[in-house]
Amino acid sequence: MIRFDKVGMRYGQGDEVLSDISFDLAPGSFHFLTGNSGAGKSSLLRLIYLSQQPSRGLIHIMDEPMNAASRDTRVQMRRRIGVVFQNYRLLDHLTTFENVALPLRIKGATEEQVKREVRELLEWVGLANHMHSLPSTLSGGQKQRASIARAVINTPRILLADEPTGNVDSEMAERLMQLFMELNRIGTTMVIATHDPRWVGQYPAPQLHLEAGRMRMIPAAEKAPAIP
Amino acid sequence: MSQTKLEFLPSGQTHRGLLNWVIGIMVFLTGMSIVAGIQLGLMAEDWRLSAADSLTVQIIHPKPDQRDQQTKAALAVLNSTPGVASARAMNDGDMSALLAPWIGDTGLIEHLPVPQLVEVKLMPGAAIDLQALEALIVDSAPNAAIDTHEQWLDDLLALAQAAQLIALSVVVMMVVATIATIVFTARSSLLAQQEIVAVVHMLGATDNTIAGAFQQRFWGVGLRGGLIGLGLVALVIGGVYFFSLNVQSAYLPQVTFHATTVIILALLPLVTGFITMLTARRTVKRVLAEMV
Repeated sequence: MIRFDKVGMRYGQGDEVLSDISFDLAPGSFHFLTGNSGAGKSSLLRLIYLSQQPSRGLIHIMDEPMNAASRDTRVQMRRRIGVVFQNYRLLDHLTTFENVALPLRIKGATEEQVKREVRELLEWVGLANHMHSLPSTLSGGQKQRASIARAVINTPRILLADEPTGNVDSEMAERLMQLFMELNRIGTTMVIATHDPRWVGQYPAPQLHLEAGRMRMIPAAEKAPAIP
Repeated sequence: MSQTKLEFLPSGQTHRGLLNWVIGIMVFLTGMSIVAGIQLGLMAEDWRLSAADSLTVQIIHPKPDQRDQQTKAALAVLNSTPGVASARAMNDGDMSALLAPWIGDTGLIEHLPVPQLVEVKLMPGAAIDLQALEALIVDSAPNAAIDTHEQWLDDLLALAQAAQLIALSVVVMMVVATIATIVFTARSSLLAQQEIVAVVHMLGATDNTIAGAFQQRFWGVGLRGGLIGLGLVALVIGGVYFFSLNVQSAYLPQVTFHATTVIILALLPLVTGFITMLTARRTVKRVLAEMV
Protein backbone atom coordinates (compact mmCIF):
# COMPACT_ATOMS: atom_id res chain seq x y z
CA MET A 1 0.00 0.00 0.00
CA ILE A 2 2.83 2.39 0.93
CA ARG A 3 6.33 1.53 -0.26
CA PHE A 4 9.49 3.59 0.29
CA ASP A 5 12.80 2.56 -1.31
CA LYS A 6 15.90 4.29 0.07
CA VAL A 7 14.07 7.59 0.34
CA GLY A 8 15.96 10.69 1.45
CA MET A 9 14.54 14.14 2.00
CA ARG A 10 15.99 17.57 2.70
CA TYR A 11 14.47 21.02 2.92
CA GLY A 12 16.20 23.36 0.48
CA GLN A 13 19.96 23.01 0.67
CA GLY A 14 19.95 21.80 4.30
CA ASP A 15 21.02 18.43 5.68
CA GLU A 16 18.83 15.40 5.06
CA VAL A 17 16.01 15.16 7.61
CA LEU A 18 15.23 11.65 6.41
CA SER A 19 17.86 9.23 5.11
CA ASP A 20 17.58 5.84 3.41
CA ILE A 21 14.01 5.21 4.51
CA SER A 22 12.73 1.87 3.22
CA PHE A 23 9.54 0.06 4.22
CA ASP A 24 6.52 -1.60 2.69
CA LEU A 25 3.15 -1.35 4.46
CA ALA A 26 0.50 -3.92 3.54
CA PRO A 27 -3.10 -2.87 2.78
CA GLY A 28 -5.21 -2.72 5.95
CA SER A 29 -2.18 -2.66 8.25
CA PHE A 30 -1.86 -0.55 11.40
CA HIS A 31 1.48 1.08 12.28
CA PHE A 32 2.65 3.55 14.83
CA LEU A 33 5.22 6.08 13.68
CA THR A 34 7.39 6.81 16.69
CA GLY A 35 10.43 8.88 17.50
CA ASN A 36 11.51 11.94 19.43
CA SER A 37 10.50 15.44 18.50
CA GLY A 38 12.48 16.44 15.40
CA ALA A 39 13.15 12.83 14.40
CA GLY A 40 11.33 13.41 11.10
CA LYS A 41 7.86 11.98 11.79
CA SER A 42 5.97 14.93 10.27
CA SER A 43 8.32 15.01 7.26
CA LEU A 44 7.69 11.32 6.64
CA LEU A 45 3.93 11.88 6.84
CA ARG A 46 4.24 14.81 4.38
CA LEU A 47 5.96 12.50 1.92
CA ILE A 48 3.14 9.98 2.27
CA TYR A 49 0.36 12.52 1.80
CA LEU A 50 2.27 13.99 -1.14
CA SER A 51 2.82 17.52 0.08
CA GLN A 52 6.61 17.10 -0.27
CA GLN A 53 8.83 15.47 -2.87
CA PRO A 54 11.70 13.23 -1.79
CA SER A 55 15.25 14.37 -2.60
CA ARG A 56 16.08 10.81 -3.61
CA GLY A 57 14.65 7.29 -3.56
CA LEU A 58 11.34 5.92 -4.79
CA ILE A 59 7.87 6.21 -3.30
CA HIS A 60 4.95 4.00 -4.33
CA ILE A 61 1.47 4.68 -2.98
CA MET A 62 -1.24 2.13 -3.76
CA ASP A 63 1.22 0.52 -6.19
CA GLU A 64 1.63 3.72 -8.20
CA PRO A 65 5.04 5.42 -8.49
CA MET A 66 4.74 8.92 -7.10
CA ASN A 67 8.10 10.51 -7.88
CA ALA A 68 7.23 11.60 -11.39
CA ALA A 69 3.43 11.39 -11.10
CA SER A 70 1.43 14.07 -12.88
CA ARG A 71 -0.42 16.73 -10.90
CA ASP A 72 -3.72 15.04 -11.78
CA THR A 73 -2.50 11.67 -10.46
CA ARG A 74 -1.34 13.29 -7.24
CA VAL A 75 -4.70 15.04 -6.83
CA GLN A 76 -6.56 11.76 -7.32
CA MET A 77 -4.23 10.04 -4.86
CA ARG A 78 -4.69 12.76 -2.20
CA ARG A 79 -8.43 12.16 -2.33
CA ARG A 80 -7.80 8.58 -1.21
CA ILE A 81 -5.58 9.57 1.71
CA GLY A 82 -7.06 11.01 4.89
CA VAL A 83 -4.89 13.12 7.19
CA VAL A 84 -5.48 14.12 10.81
CA PHE A 85 -3.22 16.93 11.94
CA GLN A 86 -1.98 17.61 15.43
CA ASN A 87 -3.16 21.22 15.13
CA TYR A 88 -6.39 20.11 13.35
CA ARG A 89 -6.04 22.57 10.43
CA LEU A 90 -9.78 23.23 10.34
CA LEU A 91 -10.81 26.30 8.35
CA ASP A 92 -11.84 28.85 10.98
CA HIS A 93 -14.44 30.64 8.85
CA LEU A 94 -16.35 27.43 8.05
CA THR A 95 -18.74 25.60 10.39
CA THR A 96 -18.00 22.06 11.55
CA PHE A 97 -20.44 20.78 8.91
CA GLU A 98 -18.76 22.76 6.13
CA ASN A 99 -15.28 21.70 7.23
CA VAL A 100 -16.22 18.03 7.21
CA ALA A 101 -18.08 18.45 3.91
CA LEU A 102 -15.04 19.94 2.13
CA PRO A 103 -13.54 16.67 0.78
CA LEU A 104 -16.94 15.60 -0.58
CA ARG A 105 -17.53 18.98 -2.21
CA ILE A 106 -14.04 18.97 -3.69
CA LYS A 107 -14.82 15.55 -5.15
CA GLY A 108 -18.01 16.97 -6.66
CA ALA A 109 -20.60 15.09 -4.56
CA THR A 110 -24.25 16.09 -4.75
CA GLU A 111 -25.73 18.28 -2.04
CA GLU A 112 -28.00 15.44 -0.91
CA GLN A 113 -25.01 13.11 -0.54
CA VAL A 114 -23.06 15.78 1.35
CA LYS A 115 -25.90 16.40 3.80
CA ARG A 116 -26.56 12.73 4.42
CA GLU A 117 -22.96 11.61 4.83
CA VAL A 118 -21.72 14.57 6.87
CA ARG A 119 -24.64 14.37 9.31
CA GLU A 120 -24.17 10.64 9.70
CA LEU A 121 -20.46 10.99 10.37
CA LEU A 122 -20.83 13.92 12.76
CA GLU A 123 -23.31 11.86 14.76
CA TRP A 124 -20.83 8.99 14.78
CA VAL A 125 -18.03 11.15 16.19
CA GLY A 126 -20.42 12.81 18.67
CA LEU A 127 -20.55 16.26 17.09
CA ALA A 128 -24.17 16.26 15.89
CA ASN A 129 -24.96 19.12 18.28
CA HIS A 130 -22.04 21.20 17.02
CA MET A 131 -22.75 20.92 13.31
CA HIS A 132 -23.19 24.66 12.85
CA SER A 133 -20.51 25.77 15.29
CA LEU A 134 -17.34 27.48 14.16
CA PRO A 135 -14.06 25.77 15.14
CA SER A 136 -13.21 28.65 17.47
CA THR A 137 -16.13 27.62 19.73
CA LEU A 138 -15.11 23.92 19.91
CA SER A 139 -12.90 22.30 22.56
CA GLY A 140 -9.63 20.60 21.59
CA GLY A 141 -11.26 17.16 21.60
CA GLN A 142 -14.18 18.36 19.49
CA LYS A 143 -11.81 19.94 16.98
CA GLN A 144 -9.83 16.73 16.79
CA ARG A 145 -12.99 14.72 16.16
CA ALA A 146 -14.07 17.18 13.47
CA SER A 147 -10.61 16.84 11.94
CA ILE A 148 -10.93 13.04 12.01
CA ALA A 149 -14.40 13.24 10.49
CA ARG A 150 -13.00 15.38 7.65
CA ALA A 151 -10.19 12.88 7.13
CA VAL A 152 -12.48 9.84 6.89
CA ILE A 153 -15.54 11.31 5.11
CA ASN A 154 -14.21 10.11 1.74
CA THR A 155 -13.56 6.61 3.16
CA PRO A 156 -9.83 6.88 2.46
CA ARG A 157 -7.73 3.81 1.83
CA ILE A 158 -4.92 5.27 3.93
CA LEU A 159 -5.38 7.32 7.11
CA LEU A 160 -2.44 9.25 8.53
CA ALA A 161 -2.65 10.89 11.94
CA ASP A 162 0.00 13.21 13.33
CA GLU A 163 -0.03 13.17 17.15
CA PRO A 164 -3.84 12.84 17.18
CA THR A 165 -4.01 12.46 20.95
CA GLY A 166 -1.51 15.20 21.73
CA ASN A 167 -4.01 17.95 22.57
CA VAL A 168 -6.82 16.01 24.22
CA ASP A 169 -7.40 14.56 27.68
CA SER A 170 -6.75 10.87 28.30
CA GLU A 171 -10.43 9.87 28.13
CA MET A 172 -10.85 11.55 24.76
CA ALA A 173 -7.51 10.12 23.59
CA GLU A 174 -8.76 6.65 24.43
CA ARG A 175 -11.97 7.23 22.45
CA LEU A 176 -10.00 8.50 19.46
CA MET A 177 -7.74 5.45 19.52
CA GLN A 178 -10.81 3.22 19.57
CA LEU A 179 -12.10 5.12 16.57
CA PHE A 180 -8.84 4.51 14.68
CA MET A 181 -8.92 0.82 15.53
CA GLU A 182 -12.47 0.64 14.23
CA LEU A 183 -11.47 2.34 10.96
CA ASN A 184 -8.60 -0.10 10.61
CA ARG A 185 -10.95 -3.03 11.15
CA ILE A 186 -12.98 -1.92 8.10
CA GLY A 187 -9.84 -2.02 5.95
CA THR A 188 -8.20 1.39 6.22
CA THR A 189 -4.40 1.33 6.28
CA MET A 190 -3.37 3.36 9.34
CA VAL A 191 -0.17 5.19 10.23
CA ILE A 192 -0.33 7.05 13.55
CA ALA A 193 2.54 9.28 14.51
CA THR A 194 2.94 9.54 18.26
CA HIS A 195 5.56 10.09 20.89
CA ASP A 196 3.22 8.84 23.61
CA PRO A 197 4.52 5.41 24.74
CA ARG A 198 1.17 4.70 26.41
CA TRP A 199 -0.54 3.89 23.12
CA VAL A 200 2.36 1.94 21.73
CA GLY A 201 2.30 -0.30 24.79
CA GLN A 202 -1.46 -0.62 24.87
CA TYR A 203 -2.14 -1.42 21.21
CA PRO A 204 -0.32 -4.31 19.54
CA ALA A 205 0.91 -2.67 16.36
CA PRO A 206 4.35 -2.55 14.75
CA GLN A 207 6.29 0.67 14.85
CA LEU A 208 8.16 2.65 12.25
CA HIS A 209 10.70 4.12 14.61
CA LEU A 210 12.67 7.18 13.54
CA GLU A 211 15.93 8.33 15.08
CA ALA A 212 17.80 11.28 13.65
CA GLY A 213 16.17 10.81 10.26
CA ARG A 214 16.82 7.07 10.00
CA MET A 215 14.17 4.42 10.42
CA ARG A 216 13.90 0.93 11.76
CA MET A 217 10.88 -1.30 12.00
CA ILE A 218 9.97 -2.57 15.47
CA PRO A 219 7.62 -5.59 15.48
CA ALA A 220 4.42 -5.43 17.48
CA ALA A 221 5.64 -7.52 20.38
CA GLU A 222 8.74 -5.45 21.03
CA LYS A 223 8.58 -2.21 23.01
CA ALA A 224 10.03 0.96 21.54
CA PRO A 225 13.04 2.49 23.27
CA ALA A 226 12.06 4.77 26.13
CA ILE A 227 11.47 8.29 24.98
CA PRO A 228 13.40 10.79 27.07
CA MET B 1 -29.69 16.05 -7.74
CA SER B 2 -27.70 19.26 -7.52
CA GLN B 3 -23.93 19.49 -7.62
CA THR B 4 -22.56 21.28 -4.57
CA LYS B 5 -20.94 24.67 -4.86
CA LEU B 6 -17.44 24.74 -3.44
CA GLU B 7 -16.81 27.91 -1.47
CA PHE B 8 -13.83 27.81 0.80
CA LEU B 9 -12.53 31.39 0.80
CA PRO B 10 -13.64 33.65 3.65
CA SER B 11 -15.93 36.52 2.71
CA GLY B 12 -15.15 40.14 3.45
CA GLN B 13 -11.56 40.93 2.64
CA THR B 14 -10.95 44.58 3.40
CA HIS B 15 -8.51 45.25 0.55
CA ARG B 16 -11.14 44.31 -2.04
CA GLY B 17 -13.13 47.51 -1.39
CA LEU B 18 -10.01 49.54 -2.06
CA LEU B 19 -9.22 47.49 -5.16
CA ASN B 20 -12.70 48.26 -6.54
CA TRP B 21 -11.83 51.95 -6.42
CA VAL B 22 -8.30 51.53 -7.80
CA ILE B 23 -9.71 49.62 -10.77
CA GLY B 24 -12.57 52.13 -10.99
CA ILE B 25 -10.12 55.04 -11.32
CA MET B 26 -8.10 53.16 -13.94
CA VAL B 27 -11.25 52.35 -15.89
CA PHE B 28 -12.26 56.02 -15.65
CA LEU B 29 -8.93 57.18 -17.13
CA THR B 30 -9.12 54.43 -19.78
CA GLY B 31 -12.70 55.39 -20.61
CA MET B 32 -11.84 59.08 -20.93
CA SER B 33 -8.90 58.23 -23.22
CA ILE B 34 -11.15 56.02 -25.35
CA VAL B 35 -13.77 58.78 -25.60
CA ALA B 36 -11.10 61.33 -26.53
CA GLY B 37 -9.57 59.01 -29.15
CA ILE B 38 -12.88 58.09 -30.78
CA GLN B 39 -14.27 61.64 -30.72
CA LEU B 40 -11.06 63.02 -32.23
CA GLY B 41 -11.22 60.41 -34.98
CA LEU B 42 -14.84 61.27 -35.72
CA MET B 43 -14.13 65.01 -35.74
CA ALA B 44 -11.15 64.53 -38.08
CA GLU B 45 -13.35 62.51 -40.44
CA ASP B 46 -15.99 65.27 -40.38
CA TRP B 47 -13.35 67.90 -41.19
CA ARG B 48 -11.94 65.77 -44.00
CA LEU B 49 -15.36 65.16 -45.55
CA SER B 50 -16.48 68.78 -45.34
CA ALA B 51 -13.21 70.01 -46.80
CA ALA B 52 -13.08 67.42 -49.57
CA ASP B 53 -16.12 68.80 -51.41
CA SER B 54 -15.31 72.46 -51.14
CA LEU B 55 -12.66 75.02 -51.95
CA THR B 56 -12.26 78.77 -51.59
CA VAL B 57 -11.14 81.28 -54.19
CA GLN B 58 -9.58 84.49 -52.83
CA ILE B 59 -9.33 87.69 -54.83
CA ILE B 60 -6.81 89.94 -53.16
CA HIS B 61 -6.81 93.46 -54.55
CA PRO B 62 -6.75 96.74 -52.63
CA LYS B 63 -9.18 98.52 -54.99
CA PRO B 64 -12.82 97.46 -54.45
CA ASP B 65 -13.89 97.99 -58.09
CA GLN B 66 -11.02 95.88 -59.42
CA ARG B 67 -11.80 93.27 -56.79
CA ASP B 68 -15.49 93.14 -57.82
CA GLN B 69 -14.60 92.93 -61.49
CA GLN B 70 -12.20 90.04 -60.94
CA THR B 71 -14.74 88.32 -58.68
CA LYS B 72 -17.32 88.38 -61.46
CA ALA B 73 -14.77 86.98 -63.93
CA ALA B 74 -13.78 84.21 -61.54
CA LEU B 75 -17.45 83.33 -60.90
CA ALA B 76 -18.03 83.09 -64.63
CA VAL B 77 -15.15 80.63 -65.03
CA LEU B 78 -16.25 78.59 -62.01
CA ASN B 79 -19.90 78.38 -63.07
CA SER B 80 -18.90 77.08 -66.49
CA THR B 81 -16.54 74.43 -65.07
CA PRO B 82 -17.93 70.84 -65.05
CA GLY B 83 -17.96 69.37 -61.54
CA VAL B 84 -18.60 72.67 -59.77
CA ALA B 85 -21.95 72.44 -58.01
CA SER B 86 -22.11 76.11 -56.96
CA ALA B 87 -19.91 79.17 -56.62
CA ARG B 88 -20.97 82.10 -54.45
CA ALA B 89 -19.20 85.32 -53.58
CA MET B 90 -19.41 85.92 -49.85
CA ASN B 91 -21.11 89.21 -48.93
CA ASP B 92 -20.20 91.67 -46.18
CA GLY B 93 -22.50 89.92 -43.74
CA ASP B 94 -20.80 86.56 -44.33
CA MET B 95 -17.36 88.18 -43.94
CA SER B 96 -18.38 89.93 -40.71
CA ALA B 97 -19.67 86.64 -39.27
CA LEU B 98 -16.47 84.89 -40.32
CA LEU B 99 -14.21 87.45 -38.67
CA ALA B 100 -16.42 88.20 -35.66
CA PRO B 101 -14.62 85.71 -33.34
CA TRP B 102 -11.38 87.67 -33.90
CA ILE B 103 -12.40 91.32 -34.29
CA GLY B 104 -15.88 91.30 -32.81
CA ASP B 105 -19.11 92.64 -34.29
CA THR B 106 -17.89 96.27 -34.49
CA GLY B 107 -18.33 97.18 -38.17
CA LEU B 108 -14.55 97.46 -38.36
CA ILE B 109 -14.53 95.15 -41.36
CA GLU B 110 -15.73 97.96 -43.65
CA HIS B 111 -12.41 99.74 -43.03
CA LEU B 112 -10.17 96.70 -43.48
CA PRO B 113 -8.68 95.53 -46.80
CA VAL B 114 -10.07 91.99 -46.53
CA PRO B 115 -9.93 89.81 -49.65
CA GLN B 116 -13.07 88.79 -51.47
CA LEU B 117 -13.84 85.14 -50.86
CA VAL B 118 -15.73 82.89 -53.25
CA GLU B 119 -17.18 79.76 -51.66
CA VAL B 120 -17.12 76.86 -54.13
CA LYS B 121 -19.01 73.60 -53.61
CA LEU B 122 -17.92 70.66 -55.73
CA MET B 123 -20.09 67.80 -56.87
CA PRO B 124 -19.39 64.66 -54.77
CA GLY B 125 -16.59 62.67 -56.39
CA ALA B 126 -15.91 65.33 -59.04
CA ALA B 127 -12.46 64.91 -60.60
CA ILE B 128 -11.33 68.47 -61.21
CA ASP B 129 -7.80 69.41 -62.25
CA LEU B 130 -7.30 72.19 -59.71
CA GLN B 131 -4.08 73.48 -61.30
CA ALA B 132 -5.81 73.87 -64.69
CA LEU B 133 -8.82 75.51 -63.01
CA GLU B 134 -6.56 77.95 -61.16
CA ALA B 135 -4.79 78.81 -64.43
CA LEU B 136 -8.13 79.49 -66.12
CA ILE B 137 -9.31 81.70 -63.26
CA VAL B 138 -6.03 83.60 -63.11
CA ASP B 139 -6.33 84.29 -66.87
CA SER B 140 -9.46 86.36 -66.26
CA ALA B 141 -8.81 87.35 -62.61
CA PRO B 142 -5.02 87.86 -62.17
CA ASN B 143 -5.25 88.41 -58.38
CA ALA B 144 -7.16 85.20 -57.70
CA ALA B 145 -5.81 82.17 -55.81
CA ILE B 146 -7.40 78.83 -54.97
CA ASP B 147 -7.28 77.53 -51.40
CA THR B 148 -8.16 73.80 -51.30
CA HIS B 149 -7.95 73.75 -47.44
CA GLU B 150 -5.37 70.98 -47.81
CA GLN B 151 -2.64 72.75 -45.88
CA TRP B 152 -4.62 73.46 -42.70
CA LEU B 153 -6.56 70.21 -43.00
CA ASP B 154 -3.35 68.16 -43.18
CA ASP B 155 -1.97 69.95 -40.11
CA LEU B 156 -5.23 69.45 -38.26
CA LEU B 157 -5.46 65.77 -39.20
CA ALA B 158 -1.82 65.22 -38.16
CA LEU B 159 -2.59 66.89 -34.82
CA ALA B 160 -5.72 64.76 -34.37
CA GLN B 161 -3.74 61.60 -35.17
CA ALA B 162 -1.03 62.53 -32.68
CA ALA B 163 -3.68 63.11 -30.01
CA GLN B 164 -5.29 59.76 -30.87
CA LEU B 165 -1.93 58.00 -30.50
CA ILE B 166 -1.46 59.59 -27.09
CA ALA B 167 -4.97 58.45 -26.08
CA LEU B 168 -4.19 54.92 -27.30
CA SER B 169 -0.92 54.92 -25.34
CA VAL B 170 -2.80 55.96 -22.20
CA VAL B 171 -5.31 53.10 -22.77
CA VAL B 172 -2.46 50.57 -23.18
CA MET B 173 -0.65 51.89 -20.09
CA MET B 174 -3.85 51.76 -18.04
CA VAL B 175 -4.57 48.16 -19.10
CA VAL B 176 -0.99 47.15 -18.22
CA ALA B 177 -1.19 48.98 -14.87
CA THR B 178 -4.55 47.34 -14.12
CA ILE B 179 -3.17 43.87 -14.91
CA ALA B 180 -0.08 44.54 -12.77
CA THR B 181 -2.30 45.67 -9.87
CA ILE B 182 -4.45 42.55 -10.16
CA VAL B 183 -1.39 40.25 -10.33
CA PHE B 184 -0.02 41.89 -7.19
CA THR B 185 -3.38 41.71 -5.39
CA ALA B 186 -4.07 38.11 -6.45
CA ARG B 187 -0.64 37.07 -5.17
CA SER B 188 -1.21 38.91 -1.87
CA SER B 189 -4.66 37.38 -1.58
CA LEU B 190 -3.24 33.92 -2.20
CA LEU B 191 -0.54 34.57 0.38
CA ALA B 192 -3.12 35.76 2.91
CA GLN B 193 -5.14 32.58 2.31
CA GLN B 194 -2.07 30.32 2.20
CA GLU B 195 -3.25 28.00 4.98
CA ILE B 196 -6.71 27.61 3.46
CA VAL B 197 -5.22 26.91 0.03
CA ALA B 198 -2.77 24.39 1.53
CA VAL B 199 -5.63 22.56 3.30
CA VAL B 200 -7.92 22.32 0.26
CA HIS B 201 -4.90 21.36 -1.87
CA MET B 202 -4.13 18.59 0.61
CA LEU B 203 -7.78 17.48 0.56
CA GLY B 204 -7.50 16.88 -3.19
CA ALA B 205 -8.67 20.14 -4.78
CA THR B 206 -7.31 20.62 -8.29
CA ASP B 207 -5.48 23.78 -9.35
CA ASN B 208 -8.52 24.65 -11.47
CA THR B 209 -10.84 24.38 -8.46
CA ILE B 210 -8.65 26.65 -6.33
CA ALA B 211 -8.03 29.13 -9.16
CA GLY B 212 -11.79 29.05 -9.88
CA ALA B 213 -12.60 30.27 -6.36
CA PHE B 214 -10.20 33.20 -6.74
CA GLN B 215 -11.32 34.05 -10.28
CA GLN B 216 -14.93 34.21 -9.07
CA ARG B 217 -13.93 36.76 -6.43
CA PHE B 218 -11.89 38.82 -8.86
CA TRP B 219 -14.62 38.79 -11.53
CA GLY B 220 -16.83 40.60 -8.99
CA VAL B 221 -14.04 43.04 -8.12
CA GLY B 222 -13.39 43.80 -11.82
CA LEU B 223 -17.07 44.23 -12.59
CA ARG B 224 -17.61 46.58 -9.65
CA GLY B 225 -14.46 48.55 -10.54
CA GLY B 226 -15.65 48.77 -14.14
CA LEU B 227 -19.05 50.09 -13.05
CA ILE B 228 -17.43 52.68 -10.77
CA GLY B 229 -15.18 53.80 -13.66
CA LEU B 230 -18.10 53.92 -16.08
CA GLY B 231 -20.11 55.98 -13.58
CA LEU B 232 -17.27 58.50 -13.29
CA VAL B 233 -16.92 58.69 -17.10
CA ALA B 234 -20.69 59.24 -17.42
CA LEU B 235 -20.53 62.03 -14.83
CA VAL B 236 -17.70 63.84 -16.64
CA ILE B 237 -19.20 63.39 -20.12
CA GLY B 238 -22.62 64.48 -18.85
CA GLY B 239 -20.99 67.54 -17.30
CA VAL B 240 -19.14 68.43 -20.50
CA TYR B 241 -22.29 67.95 -22.57
CA PHE B 242 -24.37 70.08 -20.19
CA PHE B 243 -21.65 72.77 -20.20
CA SER B 244 -21.45 72.73 -24.01
CA LEU B 245 -25.21 73.35 -24.27
CA ASN B 246 -24.78 76.60 -22.38
CA VAL B 247 -21.72 77.87 -24.26
CA GLN B 248 -21.97 79.24 -27.76
CA SER B 249 -18.56 79.70 -29.28
CA ALA B 250 -17.07 79.42 -32.71
CA TYR B 251 -13.97 77.90 -31.14
CA LEU B 252 -15.76 74.93 -29.55
CA PRO B 253 -17.03 72.10 -31.75
CA GLN B 254 -20.52 70.80 -31.11
CA VAL B 255 -20.38 67.91 -28.59
CA THR B 256 -22.09 64.80 -29.94
CA PHE B 257 -21.40 61.18 -29.05
CA HIS B 258 -21.26 58.49 -31.69
CA ALA B 259 -22.97 55.13 -31.05
CA THR B 260 -19.52 53.42 -31.19
CA THR B 261 -18.36 55.49 -28.22
CA VAL B 262 -21.46 54.63 -26.20
CA ILE B 263 -21.22 50.88 -27.01
CA ILE B 264 -17.50 50.70 -26.12
CA LEU B 265 -18.12 52.56 -22.85
CA ALA B 266 -21.04 50.28 -21.99
CA LEU B 267 -18.82 47.23 -22.53
CA LEU B 268 -16.03 48.56 -20.27
CA PRO B 269 -17.25 46.96 -16.99
CA LEU B 270 -17.65 43.55 -18.65
CA VAL B 271 -14.25 43.77 -20.34
CA THR B 272 -12.69 44.88 -17.04
CA GLY B 273 -14.38 41.98 -15.25
CA PHE B 274 -13.02 39.50 -17.79
CA ILE B 275 -9.48 40.93 -17.74
CA THR B 276 -9.49 40.91 -13.92
CA MET B 277 -10.87 37.38 -13.76
CA LEU B 278 -8.45 35.91 -16.31
CA THR B 279 -5.45 37.71 -14.79
CA ALA B 280 -6.32 36.44 -11.30
CA ARG B 281 -6.84 32.90 -12.59
CA ARG B 282 -3.52 32.88 -14.44
CA THR B 283 -1.66 34.37 -11.46
CA VAL B 284 -3.13 31.87 -8.98
CA LYS B 285 -2.41 28.93 -11.28
CA ARG B 286 1.19 30.04 -11.70
CA VAL B 287 1.63 30.26 -7.92
CA LEU B 288 -0.07 26.87 -7.43
CA ALA B 289 2.22 25.29 -10.01
CA GLU B 290 5.09 26.04 -7.63
CA MET B 291 3.41 23.83 -4.99
CA VAL B 292 4.05 20.07 -5.06
